[in-house]
Amino acid sequence: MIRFLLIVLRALRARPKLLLPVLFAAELAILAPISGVQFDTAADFARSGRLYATDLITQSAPMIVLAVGMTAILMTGGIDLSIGAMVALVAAVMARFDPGPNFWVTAVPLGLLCGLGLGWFNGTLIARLDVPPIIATLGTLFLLRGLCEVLLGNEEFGTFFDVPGYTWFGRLSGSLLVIAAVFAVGGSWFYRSRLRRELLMLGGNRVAARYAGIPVFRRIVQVYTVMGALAFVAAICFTARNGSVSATSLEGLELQVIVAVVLGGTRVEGGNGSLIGSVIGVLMVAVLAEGLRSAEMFHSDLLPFKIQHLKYVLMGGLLVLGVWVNRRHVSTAG
Amino acid sequence: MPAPLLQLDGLAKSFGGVQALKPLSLELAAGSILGLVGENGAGKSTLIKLLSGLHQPDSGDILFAGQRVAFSSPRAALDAGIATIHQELEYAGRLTVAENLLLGESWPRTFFGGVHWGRLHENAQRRLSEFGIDLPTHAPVDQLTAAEKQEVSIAGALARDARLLILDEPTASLSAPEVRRLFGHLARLRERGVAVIYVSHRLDEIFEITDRIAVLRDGSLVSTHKTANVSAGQLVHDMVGRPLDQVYPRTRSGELGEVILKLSSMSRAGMFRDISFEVRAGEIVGLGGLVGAGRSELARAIYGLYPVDTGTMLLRGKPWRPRGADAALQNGLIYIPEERKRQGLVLDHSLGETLSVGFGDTASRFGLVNRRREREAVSGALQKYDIRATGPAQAVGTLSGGNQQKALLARWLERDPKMIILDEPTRGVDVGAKAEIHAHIDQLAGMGKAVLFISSDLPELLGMSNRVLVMNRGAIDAELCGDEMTEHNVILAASGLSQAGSPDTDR
Repeated sequence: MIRFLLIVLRALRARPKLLLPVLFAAELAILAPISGVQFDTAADFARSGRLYATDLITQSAPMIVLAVGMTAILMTGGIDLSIGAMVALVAAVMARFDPGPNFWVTAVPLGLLCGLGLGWFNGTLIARLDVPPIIATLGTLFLLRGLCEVLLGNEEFGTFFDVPGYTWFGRLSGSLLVIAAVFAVGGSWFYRSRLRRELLMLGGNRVAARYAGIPVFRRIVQVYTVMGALAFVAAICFTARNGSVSATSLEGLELQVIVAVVLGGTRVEGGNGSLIGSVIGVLMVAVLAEGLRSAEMFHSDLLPFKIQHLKYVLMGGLLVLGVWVNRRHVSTAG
Repeated sequence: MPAPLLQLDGLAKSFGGVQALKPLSLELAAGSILGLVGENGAGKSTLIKLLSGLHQPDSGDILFAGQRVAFSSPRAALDAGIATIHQELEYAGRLTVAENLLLGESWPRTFFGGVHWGRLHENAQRRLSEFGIDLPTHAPVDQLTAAEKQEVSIAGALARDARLLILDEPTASLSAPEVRRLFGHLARLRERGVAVIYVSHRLDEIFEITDRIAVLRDGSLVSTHKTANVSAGQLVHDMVGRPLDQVYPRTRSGELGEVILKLSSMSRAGMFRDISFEVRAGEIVGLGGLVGAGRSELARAIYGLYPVDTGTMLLRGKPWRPRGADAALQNGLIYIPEERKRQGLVLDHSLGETLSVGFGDTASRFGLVNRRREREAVSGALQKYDIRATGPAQAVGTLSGGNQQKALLARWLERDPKMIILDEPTRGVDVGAKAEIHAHIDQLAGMGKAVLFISSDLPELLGMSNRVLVMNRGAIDAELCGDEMTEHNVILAASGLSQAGSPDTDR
């Protein structure tokens, strides 16, 4: 066992890119059985594994969608703390509409417009008015949360399941399709695009980017606007699975997304970023959350305290670990 | 002969597997100036870092004032009496000259325990005037010129009784009169018995100010000469290990084509005023002047980074009102900025990424980068411009200054620009790379491109250009061509002395 670990460690030192997948596999190996995946027979494994994967994917679909945008934002050296509130607000706006067939032509386009507008607002604050991203989006975080409360009060708005066809987005096929669509654009196109190069240069050295003819302000506004559109997509995924939204929905989501993206290898200082890494990061956070929830449900008698409370402790630990590993990776490369 | 102040005995240092400095022995007497020359990567910086306590030697001894010393930190070296003025100066920008000078010492106190500011500034003033330096002690260091900042650093070092002063490329960002002032300081220090190690790429300075010259190549000491007994040719030969043509390349035909860029009475408040000139295809127009005369500002305005208050520009016959650098690039106008690390490069990006920024339009469709074409273009550029690196994946920050500069040139040249503005393209670049960059510039003009060439290096400015414009305080003071193109005339015009009776009495 120890010898096996040593071999793995040595292989990882040679290829630091494998570190994240291996960590993810290790995490799955520990937490999947706790969450109810059975290994007794092949049939058992197929059935329980499918349930587990469905749960995992539908649950983390909004986060994956948001992580794509956050990766691009971190590349530019920015950050967006308002996305949790933004998703909730877009959902809240849509929740105020009648859940009939008309929902598709009224609430959905309006939700998209709302997301684009809010993202554009963030980008304009940051690029044109030169407010530091962390402050600008902290401001909009409170602003949007406040608007949620104005719209929803203390009620839980649960009409989404009544919209015809809407719940499909909360099921496995719908979630997978949304993720695939976001990836077709965000992954395949973006990864090989000139835009990505420009964002990386912009994040690495903004002055040099300006001298190299990159329209810096326009690019920043664009990135945050796209983030707004992704917040709309995430709002659909979330409400289709959850069925309802309240003023406090998704509190802290932005921090989980940032943890996931940083864990995935994107540097907070800008100038580098990896989409695949971000997705693995999201899944790691989701597996952790799911594992702890199951442990609480099925094995609480074994533990002296509520294990759910460990969630933030472990996530904080993951974040620090992720940043540390990235730094080491950079320093050995440089 | 008295015992030397500094004696190095078999000093060696390696990083990873690379022997940066092979065992080296050297002596330096008090009251003498040693010039240290060599191409980038020859081991000069390593030697300086060993002497200033930033690195510790693997083997060998440093004997300072007859005693064996080992510095665990820069602080220890400073305490022992070795002060180093690095190329990039360290100071606290928001603090005043006086505060910076006396940083790290105990400050005079008032009766109530507060700082006695009056006495602090008196002390600072006394120290400055001791070295013949005249600066306002109340000014924040941020607001000083590069030369003045350097004076503060030197005064600060000497105030701590340094007996050995190491200067690393001290004149890289100084203009000619400022260099003269620095040399005045150094001569006074020599009289006081301070030893100086003077590192520079500029051989004319080395010849003027040093007593002896040590040449490093590939980590070893190749030769030491008495300055009086050695020729520039010999020195360059020692540095590169091969004879180097000191002549500036002139392969271009000299035939001029149409006017590419024409400026008419361009002004921008506080930067430049009433600028008119034109640049033709195949022509290299030199732009000389002191640092801060408005040359770079003018270049950036042409490139579209600053708006212009009044005046008009024509680019290839059409009115030119750029709103950003992207417009300039699309119209075949490129600008290679003066501070390559701050304005040109993302230091931790790879060489391939750095170059491909410029290929943009040619290698992409639907906003997608054609990676095969990009790879070909990158490796083609690496070869064509002789950029020496382990490969396209190497981070540009780890390249030598010369190769960084070549990468910056190569980035835009693939676009086949018509008008090229070069801002100090050989600053901090070693002799070999400098010659290569000169050859490229000459070739570009030969290919019919118009070149505006900004340089503070007078021999280079005069040697490369067809004619030279000299700027002084935001205005063009003189246009020199043919026999008028002498260092003497450039310096006169740059300091505002070319016109009789001009009332320039600053400092």
